[in-house]
Amino acid sequence: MTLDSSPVPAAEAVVWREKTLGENLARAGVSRRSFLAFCSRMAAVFAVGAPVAGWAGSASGATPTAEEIASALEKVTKPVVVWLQLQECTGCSESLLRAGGTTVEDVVLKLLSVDYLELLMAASGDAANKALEDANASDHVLVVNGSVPTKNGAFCVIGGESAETVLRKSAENATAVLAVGACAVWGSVQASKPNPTGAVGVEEIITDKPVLNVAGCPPIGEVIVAAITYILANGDLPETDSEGRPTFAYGQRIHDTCPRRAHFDAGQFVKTFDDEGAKQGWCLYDVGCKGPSTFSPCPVVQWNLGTSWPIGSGHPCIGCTEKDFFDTFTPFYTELPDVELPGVEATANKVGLGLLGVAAGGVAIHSAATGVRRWQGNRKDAGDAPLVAFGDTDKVWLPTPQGRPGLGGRHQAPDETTEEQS
Amino acid sequence: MTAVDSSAGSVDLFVSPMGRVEGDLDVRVTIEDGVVTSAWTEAAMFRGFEMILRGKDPQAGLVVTPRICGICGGSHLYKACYALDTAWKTHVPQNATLIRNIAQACETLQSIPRYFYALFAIDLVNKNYAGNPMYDEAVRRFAPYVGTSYQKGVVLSGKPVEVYAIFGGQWPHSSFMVPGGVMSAPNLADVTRATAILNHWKDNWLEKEWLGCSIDRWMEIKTWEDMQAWVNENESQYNSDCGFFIRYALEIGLDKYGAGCGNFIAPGTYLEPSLYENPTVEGRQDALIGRGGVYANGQHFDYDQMLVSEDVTHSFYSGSRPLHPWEGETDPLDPVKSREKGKYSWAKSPRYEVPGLGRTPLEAGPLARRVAAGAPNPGSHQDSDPLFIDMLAKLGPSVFVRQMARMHEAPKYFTWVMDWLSKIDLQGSFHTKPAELENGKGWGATEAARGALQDWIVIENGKIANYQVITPTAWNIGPRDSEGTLGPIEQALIGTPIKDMEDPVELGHVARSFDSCLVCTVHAYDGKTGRELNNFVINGMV
Ligand code: SF4
Ligand code: SF4
Repeated sequence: MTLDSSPVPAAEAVVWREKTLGENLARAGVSRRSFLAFCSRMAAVFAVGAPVAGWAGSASGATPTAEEIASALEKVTKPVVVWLQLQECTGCSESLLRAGGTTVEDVVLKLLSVDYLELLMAASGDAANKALEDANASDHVLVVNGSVPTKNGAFCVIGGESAETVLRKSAENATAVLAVGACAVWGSVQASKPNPTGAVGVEEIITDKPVLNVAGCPPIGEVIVAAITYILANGDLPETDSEGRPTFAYGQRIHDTCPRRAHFDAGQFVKTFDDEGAKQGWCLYDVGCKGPSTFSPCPVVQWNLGTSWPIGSGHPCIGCTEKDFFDTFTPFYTELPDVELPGVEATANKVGLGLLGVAAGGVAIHSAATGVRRWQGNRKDAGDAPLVAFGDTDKVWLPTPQGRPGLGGRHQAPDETTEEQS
Repeated sequence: MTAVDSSAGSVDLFVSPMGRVEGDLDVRVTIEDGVVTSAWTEAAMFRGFEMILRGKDPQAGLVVTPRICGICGGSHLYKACYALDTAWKTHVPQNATLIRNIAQACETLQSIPRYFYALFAIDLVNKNYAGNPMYDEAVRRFAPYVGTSYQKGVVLSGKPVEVYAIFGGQWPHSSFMVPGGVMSAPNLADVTRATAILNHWKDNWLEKEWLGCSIDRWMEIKTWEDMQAWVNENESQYNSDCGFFIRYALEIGLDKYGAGCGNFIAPGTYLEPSLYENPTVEGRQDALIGRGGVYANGQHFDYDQMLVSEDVTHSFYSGSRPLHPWEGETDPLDPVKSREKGKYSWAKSPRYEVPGLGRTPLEAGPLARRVAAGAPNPGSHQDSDPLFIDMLAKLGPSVFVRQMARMHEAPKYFTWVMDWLSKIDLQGSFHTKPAELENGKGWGATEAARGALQDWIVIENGKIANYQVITPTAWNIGPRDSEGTLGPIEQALIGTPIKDMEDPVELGHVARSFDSCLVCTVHAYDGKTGRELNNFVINGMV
């Protein structure tokens, strides 16, 4: 790639010069082959969970192939994406960066014209603020990282305005809203008791349009990219579960595809992190694994370019794709006593004795809904969600609809929520 | 070298009540006659972690504190774990210490190139340097996205954390270290894979792109003269990214400013497995491989965590006197109201009681570690390296020296990690189940890539009674204290010469050289008129 002698400021290097993404990729010298390699990785993510129905241009009408993804993406014309970072830890951005490895993801992401991403922009503050205003004025995809403090706007201030104001402004003309990471989905650790800042997720503030929840603390980088890819290629949100998560990635429990599952079924459990069972790769349920109640593509997509994943490395799942995982699942490394497993009538202890097979567990319990239907109020579907089976009431899973008065954006006092949960 | 601000009240001079903030850190400076005359660093985000931890299960810190910063999540886990190890008086098998060391070092190895290319080097291609004869070459290498070194450096920076993922399952935000050891029981394939990944990183980035020579050749450098001779030794070294950076940095004067307070803190990190099977607060100093120490007014002191305190005079918290973190409080105030009292940051001001000097702000980070490595009387297992004591004596602290300290750690830590990998006994133990004591006090520390990172925990009746975290960024960006003494970055900014008032890139160099984990915005004001000259985002990741 040739360079003129002036430095290439970050903002300029991401300029979308040609009409379509395909043309931009060609201009940037990205070979068809590496673009297809990227698309097959996306295809793999789409194939994790529930079949992707209705992919635009898919011959089979089902989960798209790499070729189909490529041809849809190539036609994409310049989308405007606004990317906000509110109360967060940068972990999601780090995870996203680690989706790299080839440069195609870079190109796809950077060519998105991410018109306002604090972390990806080295532009001056004024220019950044202007970019945000311009982007907000047009139709755009809004991606949010981080939670919104509701107790005092001064807990998180961006460009002189509170996080809540910035979010409301950016959401006004947004055609799609993605909440990326547990912070943006429900507040993550800072929203755990006593939630000192009153941190809430995007959908507590933006209640008049669907929010796609890319759950996880952080989500796997590839899954973030896949969610964006889906929206770009289809101009629509993917199908979601009752938690607003795309079913293509979050359509199954970790427990359903866990390679240690045979040991669970056979009643072979690790009792401490260093015992013979740990060395043999037995099931981690007794040392606190939350896989049976956690919906996530970790076992399939894995982390750091497919290097490993927690359970693969002997680490019980802590359930970070589930709402309120911190308050609900602590202490993390202790087996929850006599907990009922979802879809079965036995506790793990009994299962451990080999009394029951649980192969079918979980298949039927995952209710799907499109994003639009979801926000219209079918949150009650969550009543059959797996946490209930963990001995809690449905209040753990979600705030009750009454708990969100008037959908006016103000959530119930966090203390109340957390009290209810305990 | 300590700057004291006597003009209380001037803090609010240029800001609206809410502050004007993008990102998490706001830096305001006044400039007069082309030189920075004062500076304020303002942390702009509050999440209340210490309040959340109170009353929780003692192990909550293992999951909560890494979420303070996803860039240093592994370092947070590491020190949170040692805080519990010391409180619960655990036994940590030697294998577990090795794996903790490896993971901590891999996070830092990842950070070094990522930070250099994606954060620091961006300013090297600022148009203010366009007249410089070396400028075109700087652009060719370091221009964001398109520079010949940029893409490689950033992409390959992901390799060391793949090794982290082998042992920890994922990066960022694994929780695989637990009191008494680690969860992973790696097998031979894991260790072989880790070794291969790191060798790939070394071959393709560290030696090929960065050094232009072998690690061994670089490690022969003991003095500033050695380093200069190294640059000119052959074409490969002269033209490597490191060789080029040294030449260019001197050319544009990065050795001339950004000194900071000149006093340093390093609790040290990486433990000698056989010397720390039973972690205690007192026993840590002697078991360290990467030594700890405090260096103030040209003198080395042993590091003693009891001498740390936090001051909240200019922070948005209530509290009347500096407190040791075991007694520490986190009681947030409304920023709008407390600005009237001269408070201006969500960061507290950590201070260290230096014998003979009183409470002193100290710089944390790689330079602090390199200074500690030059202290006399090292143990046989300890890092002993005179290079940066020599460079400080000859050049003084500056943006350049700070930057070289960071880069010097890449070959050093790589060698250590390879050694630790080879020592893992695959048949041995990786975890000893601890007794979960009902009461106790613990302290855990490490060196995150960007410096001193420490937790203090008090456990009462099986619950967390108090939990305080002091991050390297707090040491460096903390605001003024009760004496009006400026924090390290505030001091480092003062005296910086600004060539172009409309584009003060020099401020970017200084602030970035500390690699604070916060995205920060610099606002430059004309010291005479109060007019805002410019503001720009730094530590934005491109
Ligand atoms: S969701 Fe988790 S990883 Fe992402 S910003 Fe929040 S705390 Fe960090
Ligand atoms: S309990 Fe955890 S480790 Fe065991 S099979 Fe289920 S997901 Fe896997």
